[in-house]
Amino acid sequence: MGTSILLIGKPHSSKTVFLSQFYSKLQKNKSKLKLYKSVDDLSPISGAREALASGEEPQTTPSEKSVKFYLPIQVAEKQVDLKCPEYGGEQVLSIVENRELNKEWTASLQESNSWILFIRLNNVNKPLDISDVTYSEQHHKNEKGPVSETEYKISDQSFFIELLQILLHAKGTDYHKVNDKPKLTIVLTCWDEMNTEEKPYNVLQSKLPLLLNFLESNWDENYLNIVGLSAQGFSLTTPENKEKYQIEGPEEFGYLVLPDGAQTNDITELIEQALL
Amino acid sequence: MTGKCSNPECAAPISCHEGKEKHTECEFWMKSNSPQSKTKTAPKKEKKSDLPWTGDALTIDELPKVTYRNTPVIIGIIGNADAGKTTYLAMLFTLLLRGIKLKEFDFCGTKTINAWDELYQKLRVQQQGVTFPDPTPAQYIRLLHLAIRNQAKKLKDILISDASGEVFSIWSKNRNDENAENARWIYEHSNAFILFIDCDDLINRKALAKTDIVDMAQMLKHDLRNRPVIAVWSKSDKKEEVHPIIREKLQEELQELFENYKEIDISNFSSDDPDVLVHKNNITVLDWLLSRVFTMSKSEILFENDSTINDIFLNYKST
Repeated sequence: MGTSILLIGKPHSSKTVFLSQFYSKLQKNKSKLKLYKSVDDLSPISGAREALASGEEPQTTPSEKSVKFYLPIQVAEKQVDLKCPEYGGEQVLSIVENRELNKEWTASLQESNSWILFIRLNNVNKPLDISDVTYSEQHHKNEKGPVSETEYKISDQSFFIELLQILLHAKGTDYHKVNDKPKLTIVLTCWDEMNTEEKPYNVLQSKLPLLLNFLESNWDENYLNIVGLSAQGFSLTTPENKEKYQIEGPEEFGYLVLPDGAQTNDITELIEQALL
Repeated sequence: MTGKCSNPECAAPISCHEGKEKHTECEFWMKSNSPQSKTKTAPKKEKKSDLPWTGDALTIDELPKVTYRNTPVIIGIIGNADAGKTTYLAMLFTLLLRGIKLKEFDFCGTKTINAWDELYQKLRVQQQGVTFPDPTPAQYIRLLHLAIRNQAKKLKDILISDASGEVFSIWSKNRNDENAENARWIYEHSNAFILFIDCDDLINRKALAKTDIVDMAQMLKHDLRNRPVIAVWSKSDKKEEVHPIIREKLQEELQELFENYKEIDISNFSSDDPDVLVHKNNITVLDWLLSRVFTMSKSEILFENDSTINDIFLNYKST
């Protein structure tokens, strides 16, 4: 059995763009890595590849679409499968909401010792809570507070904490110990949207501090990695940016922010980051 | 059936404030328990899940889900209705989510994240302002869980109780009252206590409110042994409005009662950022109790001896 890396993320966390760009780089020899065999079914990323090649933002994957996908990658002497047990991300939501893991997920979790979790921070809500000083001011002035949805939905930090607790349970790891866990790489996606110079660790700390506490108290530091990723490099809404994609090709763009803050244009380095 | 009366003074379903034999026939009860309000508490879809925890608050029967791995520290929250006990829990999780940490421990998980998160969402700023948690129903006793790791990376389970204020009022008058079961359970099993002092109540009911607190404190004292107690002055943004005589007398009386004791002011409204009453003291309550509990356990072996573990399993499984 070869090594496998699991790619986990909610819907719209940029998995499609990443895989599509990743594949293009391998194909155009823009990476140290290669495919060890051809991919059986490229259809999950074909729409995104076409869109990017014509300088368009890819359509988001319909989240109800339950598609498995994997890339067979040759890393030096090793064969590594980058696996997406379910591509749309809807099942990831369901793991927490319905508290169920299907057989596919359970098997994938058990055989993989490297997990990549995609988190798109710009999709993460930071609602005001009562401990915000601003709230008291508004409260006293009797002004309208910010609008927020009324329907109850678990907050983002709680979601990710519970997701990881459930995944660890499925893996059968012992809560008591710190070392005995798969290597976890947290990938903060759509990094370009955040306009920040900070290190990925610091960004996670400021946006999702309790999740970070949870990660640090459960994973040994050698098994935990926090990186940033902009698979697309920049938004394709302006004509100049579209043109760059149309002329130079999508594989020329995208970057990874390593834990120390350094940027690399080879997003396929994420694989080395994720491996033990 | 759980529910609460529209009259906040009323302890129904334990007993009806209007003297009705069946509380369900009382107009005040019906007001807040009409069928249409049921949509709000519509039962969740029956979910079959193989996971050994649900994310919801734990009942006493469910404690083995947590206690199998080590003997938990149970923190009992004691106080009158509307003193801010549930809101304290909501604030605690709100602060953890903001990245405020316990002094000696790191957060490493919880089996009750849905319950915590629901409480947190209550304190979120909505368009109409903040809606504080509803009064906790009388028969209700639930425990919220935190798993924490000390600096030596050793895991500890903490359970914090959330029970209605009415049962403590009943218990403080007669600890053997049949309706004070939940208060007795908390009293018997907790390793440490948070005693709530409601500044609002002291402003409004003055000496009457003070007597209630002292009664409760005395009941807390009767078989306390050396378990630590922290008195929390809730809604302390108004503490200045409590008459100084009442304030001082109460402070003196409590200090005389307890040895392993501290008091602290907390509030939910910040006037500064960071605000001592809100951001710091809400966490300090837990920090202080945990530091006391863990110093004690070294010398007195209150936890981690086999008889306690067995006892917990036996006790929790029946009821």
